[in-house]
Amino acid sequence: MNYFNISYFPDYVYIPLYYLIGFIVVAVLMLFVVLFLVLLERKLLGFFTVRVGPNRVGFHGALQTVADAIKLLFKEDIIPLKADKLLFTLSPILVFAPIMTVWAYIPFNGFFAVQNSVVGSLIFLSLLSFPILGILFAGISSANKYSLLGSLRACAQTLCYELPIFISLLSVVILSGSLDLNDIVSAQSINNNCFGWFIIPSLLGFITFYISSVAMMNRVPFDFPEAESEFVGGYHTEYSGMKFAMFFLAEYASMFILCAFMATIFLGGFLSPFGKYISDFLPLSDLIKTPLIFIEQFFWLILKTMVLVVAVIWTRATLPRLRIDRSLEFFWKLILPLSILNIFIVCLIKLFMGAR
Amino acid sequence: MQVIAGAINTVYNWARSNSLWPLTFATSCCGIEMMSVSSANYDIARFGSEVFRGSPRQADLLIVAGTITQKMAPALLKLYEQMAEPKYVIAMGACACSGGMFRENSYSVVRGVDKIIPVDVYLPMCPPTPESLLEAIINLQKKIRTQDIFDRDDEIKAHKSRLKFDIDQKDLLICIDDDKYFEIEVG
Amino acid sequence: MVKFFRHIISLIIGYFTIGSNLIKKPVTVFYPEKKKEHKNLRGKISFAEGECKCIACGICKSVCPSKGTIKITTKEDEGSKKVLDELSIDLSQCIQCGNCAENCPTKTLIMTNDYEYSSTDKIDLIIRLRR
Repeated sequence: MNYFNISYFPDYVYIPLYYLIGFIVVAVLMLFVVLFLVLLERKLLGFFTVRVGPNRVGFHGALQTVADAIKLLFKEDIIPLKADKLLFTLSPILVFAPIMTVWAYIPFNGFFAVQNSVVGSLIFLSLLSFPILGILFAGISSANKYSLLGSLRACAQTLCYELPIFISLLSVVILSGSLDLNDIVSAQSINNNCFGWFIIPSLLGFITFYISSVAMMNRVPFDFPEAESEFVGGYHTEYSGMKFAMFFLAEYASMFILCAFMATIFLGGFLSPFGKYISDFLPLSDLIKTPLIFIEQFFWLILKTMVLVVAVIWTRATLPRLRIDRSLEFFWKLILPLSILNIFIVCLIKLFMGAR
Repeated sequence: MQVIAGAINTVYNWARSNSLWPLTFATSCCGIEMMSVSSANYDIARFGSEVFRGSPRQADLLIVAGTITQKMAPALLKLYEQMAEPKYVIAMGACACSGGMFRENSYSVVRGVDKIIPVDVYLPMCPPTPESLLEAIINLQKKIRTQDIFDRDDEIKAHKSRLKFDIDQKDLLICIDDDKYFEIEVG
Repeated sequence: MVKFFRHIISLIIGYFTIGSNLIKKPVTVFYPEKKKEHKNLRGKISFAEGECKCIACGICKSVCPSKGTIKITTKEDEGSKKVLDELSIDLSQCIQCGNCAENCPTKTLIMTNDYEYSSTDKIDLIIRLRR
């Protein structure tokens, strides 16, 4: 906000304007990201299984998601007779809205995070517990026994897998000394190199965070609650039309935002791995260089996020599905001990490496 | 006003025809051909149907692949009525179109699925090759693109007047009338 | 402990197997722009080109496994000889076995390779041959 150093208008004009621009940027970005991600997943799944994804709708299938969204908009809205109308309508909103809100806390570049706060990462992960309530309400309010069972299983799994996320975040906080996301990113620029990123001291933490976030999004190999042969869709069986579209898009939006968070705390956020930015070497004046550097930082963040998203889609193409009791067994016997072991290792590293 | 309605119609029909989501309803041998359409050699995901949805509330195309017996008919009717409008039906194979080779002398086969639900595209052959199922989907897409938003009610009424079954109070399907528009002679 | 590392190595091998599919060419046949050649396909039954050579013998009707597919009506000609009036085949009931085409003495019925004949109306699926 101090970049322009212009003070024509008083403060109470600038502040709402700032938040309005932030909101518009986030909303537009999220729209394009979700449209792009659905198409990317279909094409990538096609290439991983030696076939081609959608290629008849636009140029190589580019308009496929638009057609899907318009069709879902115009479908008939069915509410079962014995369903609880308030909870039935409320649960897609509860699942989708927090995911749209947490976009505000990620620093996109050195200048712009829509709402930065001192406890940013904690608020981020706490807001991502709201979809669990949404899934629970969806199962209760559909008048369907099997939906209820499916939603209970989904809640059990998602609640369990929240623990390693918070423990891995604890290890990053030990290394950086603050919960603020801006401080975490600047603590990774120590060597001006990619060897200062937090993935190297807490590699175990990165692995457990990755596995738990795949479980939080209810994706393969943890998608037993919404699998077809077990529960015919689980908690979202009775939804059709726009409400189903919200469940459908919430999965892809949460995939992107969790991968962006992972890139911020483990992979250095918007910092470039070479230390200096490419636009530092261009022979331009300082006034033009600074916005260019900001754009380039944004580009680095998106690149790292996309690498992680492709890894998540690759996991979907490769692995089979875990049964619910096997996935909980996997959690208690492997993931939780590994994340606690990770904290010990990080503490030792911090002790012996001094003022890191 | 007409121009706006025409433009909305074009966009709406284009979107609907390019993203048909089928419901898995494979009863017998034609189901194998349907599975091979969704695999790598003849890819149905190119036409927009990436996933075969499991729940009828989220699907909008019902491909009846296989023989329908009198025990299965109430289940098929229930699934059809649970689907959300607008919905389409493809009758795949000879058994679903008209009873097929069981038409003459069977005690349990429903002679043609259009006695129970309104059918949009008929696909003969026993079993149809995967390419002919893709051609039937292209045929259905052409049919959708010439439809109008406001004609759906009339179509449903016209279909319902041609159906020949009855449901009693216990929700059972009775009196499936054997259609005698072809006289079947034996020998 | 060794089993644990063996599991992880098999996981990594699985990832790379699927990942190497990215480099291979897709095996999809892009219907309807490119069609595969099917020479031995059991396709649609149709009538031979040219003048109608059917003598209304009724062999095709008696040999067909799904009875009721083929119907023949005859009429009396001058000299009270029976000639063909109309031969109709219901394609929505035909199972394409080829018995009728194989046993037809005048080769009026032939089996082609055609597989693209779906329609929106069942009346279009009845083909007729008149004298």
